[in-house]
Amino acid sequence: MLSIKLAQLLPSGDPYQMLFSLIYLLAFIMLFMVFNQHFQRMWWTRDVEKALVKLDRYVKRSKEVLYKTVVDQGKPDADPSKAIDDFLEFFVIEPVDKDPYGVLKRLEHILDVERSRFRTFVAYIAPRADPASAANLEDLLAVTMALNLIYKITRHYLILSKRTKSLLVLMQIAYAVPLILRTAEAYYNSLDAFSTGKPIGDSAGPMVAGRFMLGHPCFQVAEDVVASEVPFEGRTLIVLKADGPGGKVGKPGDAVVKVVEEHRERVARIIMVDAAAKLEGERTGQVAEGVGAAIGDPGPEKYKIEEVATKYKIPLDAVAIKESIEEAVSTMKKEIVDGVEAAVERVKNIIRTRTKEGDVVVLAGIGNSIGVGNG
Amino acid sequence: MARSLIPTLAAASAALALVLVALSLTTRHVGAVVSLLFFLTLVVASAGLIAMAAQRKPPTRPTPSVVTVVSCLNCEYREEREYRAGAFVLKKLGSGAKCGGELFISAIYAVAKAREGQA
Repeated sequence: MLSIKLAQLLPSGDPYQMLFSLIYLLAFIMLFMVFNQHFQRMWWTRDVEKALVKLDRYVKRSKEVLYKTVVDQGKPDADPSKAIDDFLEFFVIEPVDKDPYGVLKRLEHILDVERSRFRTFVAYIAPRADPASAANLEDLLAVTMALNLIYKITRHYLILSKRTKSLLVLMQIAYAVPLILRTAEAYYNSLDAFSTGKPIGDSAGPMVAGRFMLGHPCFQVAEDVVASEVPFEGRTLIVLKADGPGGKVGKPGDAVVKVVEEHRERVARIIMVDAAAKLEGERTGQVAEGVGAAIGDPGPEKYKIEEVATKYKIPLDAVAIKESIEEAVSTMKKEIVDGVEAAVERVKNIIRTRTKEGDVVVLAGIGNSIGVGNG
Repeated sequence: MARSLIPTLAAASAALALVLVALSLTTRHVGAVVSLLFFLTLVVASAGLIAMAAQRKPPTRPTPSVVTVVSCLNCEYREEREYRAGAFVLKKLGSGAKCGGELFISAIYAVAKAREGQA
């Protein structure tokens, strides 16, 4: 009786079958428990390595486009490739903000020096480029530098994770890879626009301003910013935009301050139009309205506009044309052109309903003026 | 060369797996060995299929064509042209054919080309 019960506890049947069942069981335990992390590391590493191959291709291609554009448009006397490769390592150190007093002035100074270095360098490698092409070359150089930096940072974290065998470092970079690639693709797709001078999504603001400036003489009002005095239904519009059609953003803060200080209390409103990052699910080209300084600079220009508007108690209207980050740096899409048309009507409506005849209205089209002339 | 062998290897392994299934149904005494071989061939076939899937290239984005919209300052004239180097928005193009008003480029935008086989 007892022997029968003990026998029931033991496996029965073909002994080979039992042996192989045991082997399968051990194999599965090894696969899913012992080597689990090892496999995960392999998959994450492979994902990051694949992304690196893609990023490397983007960097090489962007350098090719940059060299070709510099040679075609700048006609340099010597081969510029060595100088460009060296300049790609250029960096900017942000001012210390532990003591925030005067940080925006210090930041503005550093940004001015950066812009000056870019300009000097482009003049050196492309001495025969016209002003608009030189401005586009500055943008193209900035895009290539951004792609190079993205590639190097991704590679850094991959190598770091391999050297330290840190799953945490690897996991972070592996999960960030889709977003990194998205940004890199946006820059990569902008190469065509910047090398040929086509308007990009970010040119929406200057395009709106340009529509008002059309047929009116313009004059320089601040660094790389032009203005036009435009009569509109009994009001005087002072329309501002970056000097086009080269890829410039200018210093619209200085321009707004200069115009407001000139007209003081006569200025009834400041209207700012800019491309704004849309949320996922929002329609490209959708126009939204709000209040505040619609400008995406690092800080100094926005501060100047807010300061002068507060000083004279001038209401600030913001009109935003929604687009994704990718669309902002790629050749302008039809939906954004439609958004520009809608924004022009929205601005006209603001002027008609919120100002009266005889008022002065400042209209600033904020953004990169690449591919958009001055009207 | 080695990569091009992967699909062949996967197909051969899958065929061998089918043969072993048939063999295990007809032969009674070699069940254990056959099942082990079946397991191994399935692993090889799966690895081959995964490798094939990894080799598959992602679809390439169609190159957009760029359109230039020409309008007249005086009338409702509007014309779409293919983009040419040197064009920019608000560029003046001289007098128009219809009303004699000045023509200018009112917009430049990209239109994504439809992929082959799509409407």
